[in-house]
Formats: sequence, structure tokens, C-alpha cells
Amino acid sequence: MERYTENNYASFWLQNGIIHFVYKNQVSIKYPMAIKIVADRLKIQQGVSYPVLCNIKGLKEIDKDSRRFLSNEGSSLITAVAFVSHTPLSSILTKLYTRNKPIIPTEVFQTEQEALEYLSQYV
Amino acid sequence: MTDLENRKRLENIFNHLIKMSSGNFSYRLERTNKTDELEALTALVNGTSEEIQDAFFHQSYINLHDSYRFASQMFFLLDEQFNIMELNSSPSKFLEYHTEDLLNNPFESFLSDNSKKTWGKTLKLKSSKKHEKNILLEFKTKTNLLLPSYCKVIFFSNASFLKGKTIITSFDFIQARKIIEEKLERKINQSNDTTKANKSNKKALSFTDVAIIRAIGEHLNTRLQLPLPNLKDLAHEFGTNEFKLKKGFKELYGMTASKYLKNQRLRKAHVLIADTNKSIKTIAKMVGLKRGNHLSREFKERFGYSPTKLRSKTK
Repeated sequence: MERYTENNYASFWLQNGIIHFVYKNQVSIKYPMAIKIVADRLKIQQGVSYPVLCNIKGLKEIDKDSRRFLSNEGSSLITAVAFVSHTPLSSILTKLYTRNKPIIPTEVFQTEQEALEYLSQYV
Repeated sequence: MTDLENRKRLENIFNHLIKMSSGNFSYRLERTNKTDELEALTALVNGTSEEIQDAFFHQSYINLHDSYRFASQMFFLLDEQFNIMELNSSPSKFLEYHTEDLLNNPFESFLSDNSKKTWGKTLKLKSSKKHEKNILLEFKTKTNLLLPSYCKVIFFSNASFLKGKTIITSFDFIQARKIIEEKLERKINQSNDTTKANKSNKKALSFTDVAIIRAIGEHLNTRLQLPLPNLKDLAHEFGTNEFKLKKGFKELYGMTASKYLKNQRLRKAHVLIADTNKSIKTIAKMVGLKRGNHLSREFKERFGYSPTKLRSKTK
């Protein structure tokens, strides 16, 4: 079953046991939005844990409180995260994010294909 | 982007680093829509200012997970067309303009492009019933740096003494996370605001001690559902001793290891209660609390409202 959600900052859907999460272009994340991101994600998960493929190409900035929230309690019901990043900017943003050790396995990949291969062990 | 534009971007980064080197971490660089190396460097410089600014205000690392927002006390009085009529001395100091250059100019012209939008939306409130609003505005300095400030905007009706004028004042130090938590607490309990003063004057830890305590904290976060390990064993596992572990948690997080674990469990429970349909009993088990009523009690104590009340408000 595919469950698709779209809002102001991202579109995300469940496909083959993986949550695909794609940030919209030029998104700046502040703490209240981080809370909303997690709430919306958990809504489509309906209480089940899944791995997440997160395409951050569109992400412009994310503040410290949001990073801490998302990498901590905001990671609830996620088994693993694979970020897809292939611009100098997104690579720096993932480095900032993973500096506070996330509570779940987190890896960064250049391509979606590599990311999906990594996540397949958590499906 | 042209060479000229890139040179301008680089110049802004230099300006910002000069500010930082003289101990001022309140400013931010304006971001562009690019994703190139220069933009990555800009994001990194902003992230670094944010970290250093917070570290300074934390003094001894208390509340590591909360951020502070700095805003000096700026005061603006705007006329009916939102031009600056009066101001105190702070805007000139922080925005690097002479007072004469600020006076009689549109307030909006000293804001970042993003904040111009926020400001535009706020102006719509003027005609509505609500006459006061707290907003985050990014001021733009003469040298193109951004100064984010929490502001209170007060509109005066034509019937009042200040006939259609607007006052804007910026706040003092604020803990960003606390604002959100307290807002939710107020929404749920409809009670008044309470701010807790932070402890200060704690002795700082060595860099290595901080790294070890942080690693232990992060380790505990990954195993919330399990009981707190024996502290002596835990300390040895991370190459320290029980005394340093206990002292470290108190100084770095402002609480004992056991309280830290409980706090992390309750934070996770908060998300699960607010955004899933799992029973309180199941959530209690997921976060390592033995029974649902145990969770409810601790939860109420930490957040000021019960899990069931939170759930009823978020559904």
C-alpha cells in the first residue's frame, strides 16, 4: 500500500517498506516545523517502524534545536536513515546533523540507489 | 552566479568572521538559493556562530539541548506608514547605521528578504482585533549581516493616544525550546507562564571529560527501553570512573544520570503520545518505564500536563 502526504516543506510516502522523504526546494527548518515534520511522518506510519530515505537536495538550512530534536526523540519509530546528498551544501548540512550522534543508524550517500541498498537490510 | 556576486558573498563571509573574531556571535550571514561550495561555507559559518553563541550563554554546559536566542533591547516607534519615527540607541549600534540613516525610512528596509514577508503578514493583523504579536525578525546590518531578534510588535488603533502608530521592541535572552514547550503547556492548562531560572556558576569540565560524558549520554539515548546500567560499569566502559561520571552529568546536563535517562524517556514518550495512536501502556514499555501510571505521573511532573490531556489536544 502507498500512503502519500505532501505539505509546505516536503512530500513523503511509504513504498516497499521504506519511507521516502523529499524536502521541497529552499526549505528552512526551525524548531516548530521540525515538530510538525515528525508528527506528519508518524501519521502515515500508523504506529509501525520503518527505515527512511531522506532526499535533502532542497534543504536550505536547519537550526540547532531542530537538528537535536530530529536526531533524538524526533527519530522515534525509525529503524535507520539514509540521507541522499550530492551538493556541497547538503554535504555540510548532513555533517552538522550527524555531529550530535543520532540515536539510530544514519548514513549519507551520493545516490538514491546506494541509499536504498543500505536500507534494504532494515526493511 | 557572476564573479562579482561571488566576490560579494565571500566578502560577507569575511565580514562575519571578523565580527566573530571580536567576540560577537549574534549575527548571521544571509543565505542564497545556491548549493555550491560558497553556500556550504556560509551554512557552516552560521552553524558555527550558533554553536559558539549557545556555548557562551550556557556557561557551564547546563541545558545542552536548549538554545538561547539573543536579542538586544531595540525600540522602534513607527508612523502610520511604518516609517521609523523614534528609536533608542541600540539599533544604530547593532545595525551599524547612524541614527539619521534609520529615521524616516521604512522599517521594512532594514529587514532580510525572508523577514520582509513575515513583516508583511504581520501588518495584516493591524486591521484585525489582535493588536500584539511576537515575531522573529532578521534585521540586516549595513555590512549585509543578519541579526535575528525576537520582537514584540504592538499596533495602536486610531482611537488610542498613539493614533495608528506601531511600537516594536526586541526581547532579552530567551530559550527557544522553552518557548515552544511553555506555549504547549499554556495551551493545555490555560495557565500562566512560568519561567525557571537556570543554575549558574558551575565549574567547567575538561574537554575530554565533556566528550566522554556526551558519549555516555548519547549511548543512553540509544537504549532507552533498557534499565540504567550500573554506573561504575558504565563509567569503566567509557574509560572514566564513577565519580567523574556523576560529577560530569551534573555539570554537563544539570542532572544525575538517572534523571537524564528519565528526561530522555519522557521526551520520546511525548512524541509518541502526541503523534501516534499507541496506548500509554505500550509507550511506557517502549521507553523503559514499567507501567502506564508511572509514565503518567512522571510525564505530568516534567511537562505540566498529563499524557491523556496531550493526546486529546493533538488528535
